[in-house]
Parts: sequence; C-alpha cells; structure tokens
Amino acid sequence: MLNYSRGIENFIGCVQMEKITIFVADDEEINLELLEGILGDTYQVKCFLNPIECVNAFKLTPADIVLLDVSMPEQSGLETCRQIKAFEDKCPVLFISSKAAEQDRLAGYDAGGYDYIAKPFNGNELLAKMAKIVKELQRNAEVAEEKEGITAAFMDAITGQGEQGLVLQFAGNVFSVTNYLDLAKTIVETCDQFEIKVSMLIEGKQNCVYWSSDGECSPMESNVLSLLRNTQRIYEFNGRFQFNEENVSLLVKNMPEDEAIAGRLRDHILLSLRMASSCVDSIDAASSNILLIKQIKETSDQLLSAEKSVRDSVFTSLSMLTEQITRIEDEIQYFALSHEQEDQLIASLHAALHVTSESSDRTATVCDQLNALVVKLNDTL
Amino acid sequence: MNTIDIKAGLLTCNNNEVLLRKLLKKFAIKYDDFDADTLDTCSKEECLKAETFVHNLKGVSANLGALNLSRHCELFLQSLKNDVSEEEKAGLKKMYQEIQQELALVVIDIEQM
Repeated sequence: MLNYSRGIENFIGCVQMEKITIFVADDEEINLELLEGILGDTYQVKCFLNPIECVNAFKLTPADIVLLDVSMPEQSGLETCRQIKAFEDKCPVLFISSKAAEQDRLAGYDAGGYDYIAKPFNGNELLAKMAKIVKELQRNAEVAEEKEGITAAFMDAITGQGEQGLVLQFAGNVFSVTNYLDLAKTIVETCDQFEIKVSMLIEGKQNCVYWSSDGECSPMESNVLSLLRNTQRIYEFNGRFQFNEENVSLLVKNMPEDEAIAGRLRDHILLSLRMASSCVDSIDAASSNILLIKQIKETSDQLLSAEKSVRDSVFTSLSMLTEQITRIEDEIQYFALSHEQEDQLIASLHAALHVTSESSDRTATVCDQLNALVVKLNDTL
Repeated sequence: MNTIDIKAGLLTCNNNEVLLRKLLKKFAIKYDDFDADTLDTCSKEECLKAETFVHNLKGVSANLGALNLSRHCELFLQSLKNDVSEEEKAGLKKMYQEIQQELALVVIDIEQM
C-alpha cells in the first residue's frame, strides 16, 4: 500500500515511488467489489463498508486517492471527505453516488471533493479519470520538487552570501592583530560563527602558538596538529579535517555532514587561512621593523654621544693649546732665549695652533655630518 | 435477459464479463428472498428505511445494468416527501411493490444465466 504521512513531501514520495493506493468507502458490498474489480489491476485498492473505519485507516496509512459513496448509514460521504481533507488536504477525494443532482455536486465540492461520479458510471472513464489524477499528482510532485530545489538554491545563495560576509569580516579583523595569540583568537571567533570547533597551530619566525575553541590546546591536540602540519593541504581522518597553510594549521573537529555546506566551508577555511598566514608574515615583518628601529635609535644616540664627545674633546684641546701659547708668549722673556729663538718658538707654536685649528675645523665638519646623519635617522623613524 | 442490460453492465465493469457475472451472482444471492422493510403506514420511520434501501438498490442496479429496476427506484425516491397525503401514500406503496416485483424478476433472470 502506498502511504503518505502528513505533508506534501511524503505525499510526493509515495506517488513517485510506489503503487498508488485508493481507499474506497461504500456501504454496498457489491459496489466495493465492482470498484475493486475495475481498479484493482492498476492500483492498490482498499475497501471499507464503514466510512469511519476508512478515516481511521487513512489517519494511520493515508491513501493517494479516496473514493466515497455519499449516503452511508454510519457517516455521510461528505463528512468523511471533510475529515480526510482536514488530515491531508492534498489527497483527492471523489464521490461516487447515484445522487448526482446539482445540489449534491455542490455539497460535494463544498466538502472539499475533487470530483463527482454518478452511478452508473463507465468503468473505462473511471480508469481514465484515475490515470488523469495520478498524472496530475505526479506533475504536482514534480512542481513541488522543482520549487523545493529553487528554494534550496535560493537559501544556499543567501547562506553563501552570509558566509562570505563572515570571511570578509575576518579579513577586516585579521590585519589589525599584532601578535599570534590575537590572531588565533580572531580565527576561533570566526569559526564559532560557522559553528565549528577547531584547534590550530600558528608557526611564525617568532614562536609557535597552539590555540583552540576551548582555549589552550591539550597536549594531545598540539601533538596531532604538529604531526599533520607537513602532510597534505587538507588532511582528513575520522571525520576531522586538518587544513595546512604556510604559517597556520587548523584542525576542524566537527565538519558539517551536509556535503554542500562542507564544500563551501572548506573554501572559506582555505581562503581565511591564506589570509591568516599572510597576517603571520606581517606580524613577523612588523616585529623585525621594531627591532630595526630600536637599533637605529641606539646607533643614533651613540653617534650623538660620540659627536658631542669628539666636539668637546677638540674644543678642549684647542682651548688648552691657545691658552698655553698665550702663557708662553707672556713668559717667554723669562726663558733666556735669544730674540731669534723666541721668534722661532712662537712661530712653531702658532704653526702648531694653526694645524690644530685646521684639524678642529675638519673634526667640526665631521661632527656636523654626523649630526645630519642622526637627524636623518630620526626622520626615518 | 429482459431485466438486465448486459451492455450497460459491461460498460460499468470495463468490459470485464467475469466481473459482471460475479457481481450479478452476488446481487442475486443478496436479494433472493430479500425481506425488504415494509411500507404499510408510510410513517417517517418507514419512509426513511425504505429510502435508504431504495437508494442503495438504485445505485447498484444501475451499475450492474438492471436499468429498469434503477428507474423504478428513481421514481420512488422522487416521490418521497416529508408530508405524504393518503393519496400519495397509496402511490408510494404501489411504487415500492413495483420495485420489489422488478427486483424479483432481476434475481430470477440472474439465476437463469
């Protein structure tokens, strides 16, 4: 027997996959045998002398089509139809009755009937009518299936856009992080939004960070991440997936079973991990820059210090030499030297002062150049 | 057979002779010596019982090709009213008897098949 429980989905399934079931209710046994005789070769026919039993059976295992007599002692065909339609609105109910006046037909329509067949009926026409209904059911099923497919595709597109939004948001957040741990936390936040549990290994020039959706990775998890780090780009084991990028490995513990969702998620993860890997490079590069800046600053300070020291030293030497020459010039008369010797000594001292002065000028120039270099270094920072 | 239009019966049975024969036999067994409810006083209760019986008979006889019997049934059902005058009662009783007579003939015809 064809069964469909509540809802069009099951109904469709029955129509497509199994032999059509027809329930017939009539208080006249001969009419039931007649209908079973006509329809029984093509359809699975179940007969009921009591329409209440027909309704009860329908509620347990619904039929695809129901044929009802109108006048029955236990319950009218119209009421039976209403009860069946209340349970499964999509099921076509046909009345077969010798009461075929206009008001009878209207009452049948009002009760939710699909068609009204007057007794005596033509067996061949009855079969043709059933075939038409089955075809219609199949067409409805196809339309519903198509509609379902379109809805699913639409929902996929909407969902896909939402997922891409998450990846974009990740891209926006990931390049503002300045260390591996913050990067790991940002990855976990995004994975939370995708409703997947992960653990990861971030490996850069500075160090390694193991992190998971639950915080610190267990030693076992860390071990697995390291073991699979250099396997394939996507490594599957026991329903888990490890994704390996240059600086980041991500272990997904609960990949969705739905193949379409899992496929999209794989793409999103790979894209996100590429970004995360680039982010590790940026963090490393930024870290190198900081070191360089520190070194430049130290060098600049050392240069300034050295320049000051040299400038002070040269100035002191020149001052001392000038002072000494002045003192010698004042005291030279007491040195018991001839005028000629005095002149020679003074000339020698002035020559020495001149050389020292010239040397001092050159040192000052070098110091100025050093100063300019320090300014340039500071400007660079 | 005078009382049964075999062509009409076969039309209903989708030209399945075996089926028609089987159903006619069943009909004959069911209505042979059938003790139909009486229609003596034409009370509401009697009329209702008669209406149910005749209505069923009308349908099944039409399906099996007993068209004359079905027509008798139809006339009777059309004549049934809530308030029946004495004159109409006599007419109803007569029609009811005709139905039973026609039914008896149909059964005989089937038994002679």
